[in-house]
Amino acid sequence: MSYCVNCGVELDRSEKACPLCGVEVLNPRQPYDDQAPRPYPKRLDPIYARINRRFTAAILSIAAAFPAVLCLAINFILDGGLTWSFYVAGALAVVWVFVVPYFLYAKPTILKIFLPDVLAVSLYLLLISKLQADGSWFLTLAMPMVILTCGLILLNIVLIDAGTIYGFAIPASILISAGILTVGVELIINLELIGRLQLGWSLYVLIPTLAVAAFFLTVARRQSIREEIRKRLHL
Amino acid sequence: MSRHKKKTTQPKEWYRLDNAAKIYPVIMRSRHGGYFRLAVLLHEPVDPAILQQALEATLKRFPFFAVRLRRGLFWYYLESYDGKPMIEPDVQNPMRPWTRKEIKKYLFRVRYDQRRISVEFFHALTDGNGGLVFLKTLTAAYLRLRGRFCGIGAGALDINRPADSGEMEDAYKRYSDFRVVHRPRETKAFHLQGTIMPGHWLQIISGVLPLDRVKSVARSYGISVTEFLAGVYLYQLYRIQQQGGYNTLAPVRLSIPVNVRRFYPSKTLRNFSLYVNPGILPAFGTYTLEEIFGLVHHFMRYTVNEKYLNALMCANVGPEQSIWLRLAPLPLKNMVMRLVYHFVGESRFTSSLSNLGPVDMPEGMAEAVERFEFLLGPSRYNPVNCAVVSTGNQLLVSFSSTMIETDAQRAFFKELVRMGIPVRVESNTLYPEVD
Repeated sequence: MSYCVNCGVELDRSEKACPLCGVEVLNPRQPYDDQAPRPYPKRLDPIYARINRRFTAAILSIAAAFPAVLCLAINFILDGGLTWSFYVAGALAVVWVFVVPYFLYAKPTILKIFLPDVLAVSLYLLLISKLQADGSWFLTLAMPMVILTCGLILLNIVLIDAGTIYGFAIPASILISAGILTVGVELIINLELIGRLQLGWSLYVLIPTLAVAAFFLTVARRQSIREEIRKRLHL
Repeated sequence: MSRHKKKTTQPKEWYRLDNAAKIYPVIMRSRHGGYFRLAVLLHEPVDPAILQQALEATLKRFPFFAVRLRRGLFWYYLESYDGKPMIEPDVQNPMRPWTRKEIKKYLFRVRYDQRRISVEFFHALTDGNGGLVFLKTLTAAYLRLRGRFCGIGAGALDINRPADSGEMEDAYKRYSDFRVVHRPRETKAFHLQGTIMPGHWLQIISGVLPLDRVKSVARSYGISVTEFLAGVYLYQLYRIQQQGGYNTLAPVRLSIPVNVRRFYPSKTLRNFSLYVNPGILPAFGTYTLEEIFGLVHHFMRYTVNEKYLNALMCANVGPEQSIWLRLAPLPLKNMVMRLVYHFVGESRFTSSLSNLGPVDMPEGMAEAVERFEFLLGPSRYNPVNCAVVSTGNQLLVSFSSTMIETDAQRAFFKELVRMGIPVRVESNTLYPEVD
């Protein structure tokens, strides 16, 4: 028989370490025996999650598919072809992609959820542009904006997730991204409308965001300012 | 076709939940609910086929155990269930919570391992003593089928006789006399905090102690074994509160179930226990172990008597008799009961210590049985609970915990070792396989 050197209790043959303190049994006369009779067998009882995620996903899919199919059918019967119903079905498909992957992955991560959303939005915009007579805006206006917005969001997610950006740098990073996004959106619109890169109203957004971001960055870098804020604003 | 006809002509038996059982379906959640487990460790390996036969025979003697939980408009109730009761192999993580589907089958699980027969009960069905009668009857039936001699009595019922209606009565209702209604005013107690075990895992750490040594140490303080164990446990919880970085002086209280059958001539096998909560108020100053022993001892003497317990019982039964509460539909009642449970239930104590006491066995059973085991299931506010049972000279103290930290268990067993009581520890810890 072995005793725990830390707790002074005798340990059952089936214990490899003291269950009370975790100190391992090191008894040269009686090494741990994996085959010793155990008070509880090694078989595990499966624990079922109360919410069946796949079931929830199936219910949501049916709830989204039903109106989509209904609209397609009404559109086909009334107009003899598929016109407006594509907007409804496409929008529902986008909502589906936004919601359902969360229930399908065993361990959903932000990237696994976010990338399908980007794809869904792009495809929906493509669908709309194909349905309209002049769909040229898709390549010159829609796609650049989607890529810019999603790229900035993705960059923030990855950097925050990896821990490169933390604390007060997070709002700073988000504000800088918002400023860049506004400038980018204006540039894309101007290139489409007047044919050249020109900056105007977006500067009024960019400058305040940069100013506030600079404040946050300063706070993030200076320990003494953080301490001062904590002291004055403690609850 | 004929089977269908038979079903419609024979209405199913149904039973009201007794007073204590009413709370358990209400507080049942995916992580916790009132569960407990009783087991018997035999000298010889268990034969599953014979155990299955024994279970089917035993269940005929316990028609009020062959039930499932149903919802009525006003109350939950138990309805006879005639599905085949199946034994299952034992597991490393016992007392998995009953799922919504499972409560529509039996409210107990019979399991077997090499030498062990265990039964997990849903508390709405019975309490520890009722469960022990079931386990003893099942074990006796099993031993007889194995060709051993095993008598009846000492808690093992004769499975050839029909069930007695007194065994299924709501004894609370029958014996509350409403001379006086008393519910002690208790404030919120101290609660242990820690890291919740992943995957609804219940950590079980049991200590086997020699009963004679425990008795002699308890006698040296002039107190009983339950009071002694409760005192040591309270003292260690108090020390954890003071030194574990909790920064609180909330009362440290234990909940100790009392078997009320001792005081009334009831044969009931449903719930018939009440809870007394001895404790200390750390705000009053520093306590020593001897002081705590004295407090627990006198508190138990003050509360564990017929008059005090009847007053407690009346406080529990009283609301159930109010016509307004009875008329409330079940969902509303559930909300009210959950609120009441929150304010007067488990939040009022730090941990439970349930002592089934020495198990007496019918003639012939003691030779086949090594020991009985008793475990409490996970509860909502209190991560660590303690169950005690003794067989012969073996006193088994089992802690079941839903958190990773083992401070309370370690402090408890260390204190016993310090007092000169040898402790042998076993657990359901999962050791990673090494190659």
